Amino acid sequence: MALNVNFGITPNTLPWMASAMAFKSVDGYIAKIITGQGYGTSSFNFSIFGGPNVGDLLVLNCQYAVDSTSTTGPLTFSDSAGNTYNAGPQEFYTDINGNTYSLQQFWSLITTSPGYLTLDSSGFYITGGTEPPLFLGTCAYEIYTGDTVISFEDSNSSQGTSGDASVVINPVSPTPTVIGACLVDGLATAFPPGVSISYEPPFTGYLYSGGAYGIGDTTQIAAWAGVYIVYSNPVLGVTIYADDQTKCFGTEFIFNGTEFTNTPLQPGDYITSCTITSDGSPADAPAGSYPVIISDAVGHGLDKYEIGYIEGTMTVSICPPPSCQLVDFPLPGPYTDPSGQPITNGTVSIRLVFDCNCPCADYQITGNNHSILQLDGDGIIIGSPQIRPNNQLKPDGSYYILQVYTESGQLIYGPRKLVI
Amino acid sequence: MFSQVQLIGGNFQDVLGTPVTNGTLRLVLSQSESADGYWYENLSPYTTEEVANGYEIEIPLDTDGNIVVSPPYLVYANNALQPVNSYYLVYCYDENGQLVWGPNCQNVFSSVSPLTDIFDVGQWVPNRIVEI
Repeated sequence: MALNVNFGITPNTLPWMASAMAFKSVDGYIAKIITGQGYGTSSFNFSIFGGPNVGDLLVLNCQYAVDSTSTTGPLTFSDSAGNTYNAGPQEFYTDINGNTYSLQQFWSLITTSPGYLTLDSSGFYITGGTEPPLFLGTCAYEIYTGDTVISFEDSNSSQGTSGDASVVINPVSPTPTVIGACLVDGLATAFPPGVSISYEPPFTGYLYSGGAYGIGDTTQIAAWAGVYIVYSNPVLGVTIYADDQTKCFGTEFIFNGTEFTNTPLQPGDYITSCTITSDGSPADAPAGSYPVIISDAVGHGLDKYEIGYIEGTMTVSICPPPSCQLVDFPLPGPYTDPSGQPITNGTVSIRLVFDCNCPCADYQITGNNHSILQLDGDGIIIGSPQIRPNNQLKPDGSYYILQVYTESGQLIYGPRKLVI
Repeated sequence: MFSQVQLIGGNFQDVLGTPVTNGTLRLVLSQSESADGYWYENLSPYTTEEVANGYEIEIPLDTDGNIVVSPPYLVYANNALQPVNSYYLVYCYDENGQLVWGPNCQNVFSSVSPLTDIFDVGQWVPNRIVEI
């Protein structure tokens, strides 16, 4: 039975699900979380199907629980391409009602495109489970290219819900490597990024942050005297790209420091702003291409990164002036009376509510006179008159007043406010 | 600043783009609070002359709704008059004498940077005057 994701259903929440729900979003992806439960009688088949905007799916943390009193065979995780994925060890959990569950976590481990599962219309499957009830807990995923509607099904009955969530990618803890020793000899020693010293013997050290480490407080040398092991930690890297910009000659572009994108950081780390400049920013910068210079990222947790900055490009163009063209009169008719009969040989009066200026060509547009449009025998305006659209005119807020007269001069419609 | 400013342009037309052919532009200097009227400062060479209250000029438009350029029509620039914050009340009439634009309060300025003694009335935004 296939079900569309139902946002209105409250998922069965088990305490252990709380940790699984503690996700944090990752830039560039739309994080979702799906929960559901199935009650298989002899087998269980849980599938996630892509919607109309199918893209790469990153299954980060699926976990399910089964009633451990049931006989449940090992579950298999696979995708439509036949890839299978690793499952974590089974753990047992007792909920607040005293029910015992077998908890097993599952992570996607994709060999061809690390971390990503290509979701196609054939879906993604979790199969197995020989005895009821089987409960599928949570499955957090991210759609890489656009949002999609997810549906899922099991072999018998199911219910589920899906909604926005955030996803944490737990970083791999760097493994330090011993690269030598450092003698504290009273000289402040700076280390390159990624290098640190051991904390033995213990001391309340002053390890510099900001990408360099050193022993700075020489007054404590006696207390800290000793030989320290120097470690080389894997240096984290982040690349910050200045966004490309375009602007018209004669206009100023003011950077606010957020016009950048960056490669993912570790959870909890973020970049709030950078210093971004370009010689193309001033209004009088001639047409052409200018580098967008970016530097000095500010944020949280950045001192452990080696930051690379990639320039962008600002393109300054000579932009055409706004159109000064008249536009077709939008109400050509036919004009009819309340009984539906055409206003034969009548007239349409159109008047600008006040005098205006058309600054794109320094036109003065008169507002005191009525322009008369003649109707034919079918109540249709003769010819194809054109008119000045209001969005060309200054002051702002102008509009037209339209009135329709019969052949004998009787006002039959209007005045009507009309913005063109 | 120049002695007086030549007015040009306008492109007076109706909403359908039909020019105000052979119309007339009429400018009336706003009333000064001074009994003497306005004092006009001409910097080339420096002289001072009085401009009467209610100074008024009529300027013909050509077939395109633009101010006739020959002969040139000159008016006192508002930024060369004392007391400050003067303006013109401007009327535009069609060739039948019907008022089609205005009266609107407008400024006429002379400029030393860039140096010019020509003012294009096409740049007027109706009833937008600038404090000097």
